[in-house]
Amino acid sequence: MKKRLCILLTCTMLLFGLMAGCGGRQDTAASKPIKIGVLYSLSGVTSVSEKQLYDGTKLAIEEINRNGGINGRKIETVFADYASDPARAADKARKLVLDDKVTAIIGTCSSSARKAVKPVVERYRSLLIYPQSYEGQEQSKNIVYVGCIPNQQAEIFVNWLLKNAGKKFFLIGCDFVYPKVENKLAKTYLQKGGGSVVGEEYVPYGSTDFSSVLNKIKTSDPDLIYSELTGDSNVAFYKQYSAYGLKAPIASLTTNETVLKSIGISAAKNSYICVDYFKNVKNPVNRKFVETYAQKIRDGTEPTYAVMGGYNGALFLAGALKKAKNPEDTQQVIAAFRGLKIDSPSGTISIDGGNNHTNLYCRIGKVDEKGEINVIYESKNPIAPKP
Amino acid sequence: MKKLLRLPVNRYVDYGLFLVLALFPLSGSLFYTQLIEKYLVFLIFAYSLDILWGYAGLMNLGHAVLFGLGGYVMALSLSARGGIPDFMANGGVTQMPGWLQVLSNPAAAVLAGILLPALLAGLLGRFLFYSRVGGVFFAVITLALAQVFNLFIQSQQTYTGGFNGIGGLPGLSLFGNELTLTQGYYFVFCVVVLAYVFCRCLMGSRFGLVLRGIRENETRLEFLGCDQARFKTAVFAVSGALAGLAGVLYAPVNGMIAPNDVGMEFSTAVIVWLAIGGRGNLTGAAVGAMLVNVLGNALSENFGVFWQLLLGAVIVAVVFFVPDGIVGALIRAARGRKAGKAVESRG
Repeated sequence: MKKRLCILLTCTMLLFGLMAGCGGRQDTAASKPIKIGVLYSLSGVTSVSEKQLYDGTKLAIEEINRNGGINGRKIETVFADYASDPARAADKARKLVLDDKVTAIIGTCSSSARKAVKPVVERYRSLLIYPQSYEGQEQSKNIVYVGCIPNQQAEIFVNWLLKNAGKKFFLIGCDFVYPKVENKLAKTYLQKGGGSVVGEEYVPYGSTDFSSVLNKIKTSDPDLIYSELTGDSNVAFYKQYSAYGLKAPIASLTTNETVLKSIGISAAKNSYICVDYFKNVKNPVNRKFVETYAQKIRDGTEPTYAVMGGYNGALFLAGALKKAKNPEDTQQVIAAFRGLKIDSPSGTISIDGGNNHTNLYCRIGKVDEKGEINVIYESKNPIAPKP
Repeated sequence: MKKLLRLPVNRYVDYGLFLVLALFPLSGSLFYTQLIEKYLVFLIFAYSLDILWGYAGLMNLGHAVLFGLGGYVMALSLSARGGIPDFMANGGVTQMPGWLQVLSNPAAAVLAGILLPALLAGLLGRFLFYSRVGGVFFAVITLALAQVFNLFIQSQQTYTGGFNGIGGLPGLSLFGNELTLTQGYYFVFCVVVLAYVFCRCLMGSRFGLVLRGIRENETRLEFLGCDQARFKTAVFAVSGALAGLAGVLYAPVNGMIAPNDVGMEFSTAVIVWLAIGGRGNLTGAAVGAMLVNVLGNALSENFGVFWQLLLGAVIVAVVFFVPDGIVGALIRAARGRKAGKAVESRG
């Protein structure tokens, strides 16, 4: 009988332990710093891209705090790792908003994670700064989109390629929304510009076997490959493509400096890339930024457009916090984003007044013999976003 | 009182857990209530695997397919409430397909979300068990199924939202009224208790006894004239229905569903819950599901990037030191005591 009771007690204790594990942590009294949430996966399938976003955000916030913070108040970050799982991203966003009471969240990478967080920030009238480029077709009062969307790349890139690289395009991408939207746009621009599509292929996300695709490319004999492959698939494609002996240049909307290192110079040289930022962009702000990056992030990587997304996101947020009368009132911060302008390493860019997306430059780079990306085209002005 | 004391030790854990869960919303934390509400849905999912794996000995490595099928049916239904969903419109669909019109009726969606997975499981069972596919081969085939289903969902972008999944779903509602968080929590809680009672009754019946017989010694049971394939198919279908039910609840509770929730990853997760908690007594499923998720959440809040490593270490330690799970070990310890007591009183 006593022993029974003992067991019973142990169980109850275990359960209370469980409960304690889920108990909310107390907030310390009204603290001076302004709290913002940082929500990235440093583990899981998208961690390679998100590490870059994270580094960018971290650099920007350190810099802002070093330079006196937001009108004298420091920014305090609450970091949450959602392990590349959209459902967990929503949980973490809820925690940041409800439990940590952050003014805004900066983060998420894949569209699936953003779409998971969107209802959370909308429901609790909070704010998400989304730093990654994506397929567009979305607008929210509670999300500020800092990365580029298809209309800011495709039109210029396709027309430039038609003039300088060839007319016959082979479209390839991973099988999800972004590549399909990009390719749809590319097709309309090709039609207008007198180009043609000789093939269109999609591989499952993460797939690294391209033998059948390479065969199709060979028989259709394109002038160039127009690619939105991402992650492991992207790296594998470049390598297999050059090993197969195909020569038509690859034009990519997703490759960056870090990916190039994994691909290797021999497979990557002479390929084209179109994004909003390269490490080799020439302006004084960027020169300083590249130096700081090399000093602070000592893992052999280089700044990429993803790093810049994370960086710009934090800069914009700081700008909006400064502009808002009460930087802890999310609604005022959201309002402050309209037309907000910053001097970023990618140029002077601003938030569009109407759709919460960002006016960004369009740049085309070509990989040279040393594996460096030379900026061979730069739009004169930032391109307006049309989500 | 005596009757209560004579209960097996794990039933105390069951009732204790339910008590804690019933009182949880009183803690007042909006965020944690919402989180635990989701874990409650996972309990149903864990029960559904336990009757299949724990009682009948059939390890399903693609159990999330059944969950996901229910979830996607419900998610499609919820997203079709306001006309053609975005992802369909983007894919060029201009008219609501007939099947979606049927699904947009919530009752039809709930029914389909439960029956379709049951049907899929039943069909699979019909083909696998009657052709004597069992043991590790069953596991491998279900594993392949998980991968196939995941790829299928991702490739049918126009109808499933593809890689992005289906998001922005409205919360739980009952007869057209949207429930508040607390109401929703208790609704899910009631469903969990019902699922628990259902599983206990079913597993305590002769049907459950036969299943345990199949697990222990299939050949002997067959010599006794039992059509084991029929029982296996039946339990697979029931398990599918329960998993589907969990999926149906998951879509509105979670607000979204994505390919992550239907593939190998989530299938493995539920296996891990049962491995940690223990199999074949329902308690282990519940304890494992709660423990792994609560611990995962607590670790991820406190240990940043390393939390998955730590969680992995805990899981490995549990499987290594108590191979039949926490509750399994608890039951064994209690039995040992009882046996000791019996010897004492005799002597």
